[in-house]
Amino acid sequence: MRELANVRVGFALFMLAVFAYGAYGVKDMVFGARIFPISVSAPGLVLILIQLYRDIRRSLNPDPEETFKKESVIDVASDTTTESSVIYSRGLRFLYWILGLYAGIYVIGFKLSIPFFFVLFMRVEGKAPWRVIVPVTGLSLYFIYVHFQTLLGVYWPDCLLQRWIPIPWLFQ
Amino acid sequence: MLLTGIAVGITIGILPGLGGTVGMSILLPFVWTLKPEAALTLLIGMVAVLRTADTIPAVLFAVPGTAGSQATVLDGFPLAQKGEAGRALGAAFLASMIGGLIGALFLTISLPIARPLVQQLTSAHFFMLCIWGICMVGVLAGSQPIKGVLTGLMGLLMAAIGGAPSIYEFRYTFGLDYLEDGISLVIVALGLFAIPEIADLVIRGTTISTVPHKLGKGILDGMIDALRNWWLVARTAVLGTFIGFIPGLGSAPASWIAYGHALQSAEDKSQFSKGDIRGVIAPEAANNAADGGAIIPTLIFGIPGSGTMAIFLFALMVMGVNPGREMLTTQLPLSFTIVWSFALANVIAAALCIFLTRPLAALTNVKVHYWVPVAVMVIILGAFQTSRSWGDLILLLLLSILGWFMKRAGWPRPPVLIGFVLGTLAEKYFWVSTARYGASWLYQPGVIILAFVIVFSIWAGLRTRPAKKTEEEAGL
Repeated sequence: MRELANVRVGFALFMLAVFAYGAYGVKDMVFGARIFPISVSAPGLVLILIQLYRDIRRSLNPDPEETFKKESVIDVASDTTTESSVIYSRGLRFLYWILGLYAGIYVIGFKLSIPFFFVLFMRVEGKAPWRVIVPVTGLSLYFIYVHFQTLLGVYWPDCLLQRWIPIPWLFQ
Repeated sequence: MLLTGIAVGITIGILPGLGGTVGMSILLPFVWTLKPEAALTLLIGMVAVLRTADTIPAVLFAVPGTAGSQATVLDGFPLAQKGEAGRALGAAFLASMIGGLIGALFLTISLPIARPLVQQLTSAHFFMLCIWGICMVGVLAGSQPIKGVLTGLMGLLMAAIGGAPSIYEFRYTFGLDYLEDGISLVIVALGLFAIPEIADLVIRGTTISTVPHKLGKGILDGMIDALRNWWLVARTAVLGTFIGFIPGLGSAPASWIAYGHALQSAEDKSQFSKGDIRGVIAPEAANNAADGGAIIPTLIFGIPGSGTMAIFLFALMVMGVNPGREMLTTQLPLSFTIVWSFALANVIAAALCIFLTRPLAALTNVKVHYWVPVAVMVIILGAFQTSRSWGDLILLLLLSILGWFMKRAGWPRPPVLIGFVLGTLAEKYFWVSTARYGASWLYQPGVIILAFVIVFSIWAGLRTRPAKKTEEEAGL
């Protein structure tokens, strides 16, 4: 729970930076452009300082967990039962998957990366059997080529490979 | 289109974390090419059925499908533990349907009544209405009003990115062309909500539900229970409609307040939180009615009643439909299409949920890693359609990280969305009012009345916050 207290203080500092930049970023602009951001940032700065003080005080509490239990916000609750180190390592792992997918989209294109992502993610992360992987990946290809491309006419990100191999149906 | 929206709404409602905001933002990129009637029917179909479907995981696994079904867990899950899940679901579906119909009825009645009222409104009034919505999100951000206000303000700052409305000046663009047009609500919604929820499910691993589901019998018994408690259903539905109508509230406070009302008005309170069917009926009637109520200010005033409605408002504007006077004059047929789609979707959804409860519930027992790639594909594709730039994907990733940390640090995310949507409108109306009336708009009677309404709403909002106490008293 100590870690959660630190996260809260860290996030409050981030918000402080946001509002500070909100005010600083428009200081040289004409009145018409800066009045709205300044009107938002000024109360934001005051309130975030109050919040930061409260978060720091709570983080110094010997048992911050009790304080957090009393807090409730109208949002989907976060998992506080799992060990923080596990949450961060799994969260980072998921981030790597997304970054990997982005890299794939950048190099070989969306239409080719997605089937690879399906197969690898389900196989590596989910230990899924092939009898699950094959139909789910097949369904994704059906959606890509029939629903998204033909029916909805969606656009795909450009990729490096299409510059070298000009096969439009494969990449665009 | 209505059936497609209903199908999407049921699926999203049943999957915890993927609430109306996520559903709306997933559908949003695909409605550009449709006619306004078809596109709005699709979106309304999805919205109308969410609160019906989100009951399934709430009752079976004590996992609310959306924030609106949190209160349902209190008595729904104990009923399921007793082997009366079927009864709880039957009661919830029928109460949801009646609540939705009452919401649609209020929506129908309010359209002609609101017409002369809206025609008297000026840009100054709309500015004050925006301020009303912004103030309410902070006040009702659970037990952390400062955090609610701060995240609402952050949404306003995000809305300020790009060109200023009154003058040729670009704000917070960091020299990037991509940011000169501002940032898209689709990306903000997908980044702040969809990816963080999926990440949390992946982190948790296994399946969405950790409890094997058993439905039991008695769906019909539950429906009879709802009819037997018709007065409670009617009261809480009307309550829900009014709460939904107030910008910034939405279905979560509606369901908690309705639960509190059911508890307060019951003669025998001993079974509440242990499996009292009234504890299921009241929040379910209220949360569905609140969605109908939230459509009223969205259509008539252009003020979204919730995060979901904020995206719906954005969809309206992108399709060239301006909320406000137009919805009651030239676009009146479209307004009625929305109303009747909402009513019809509720009836169809209740019927579908009753017949499809068993197979749908099985979805929550599917291993999360099997459907995450599908969700990620749809989200990335949806995000890319907004400006077809790599900037969309990079921004999506950055906002996803922000959303995940906000959730982890206990900062509410819905106010960001409402602030983001209202920020653009508020700044525009402010400049139009100032250009047209100078400073004299501040003394307009309507503006002064709205200022009092805002102060009263803040006061009333602070008074409703103790509804959270009900949760603590109930032992959760």
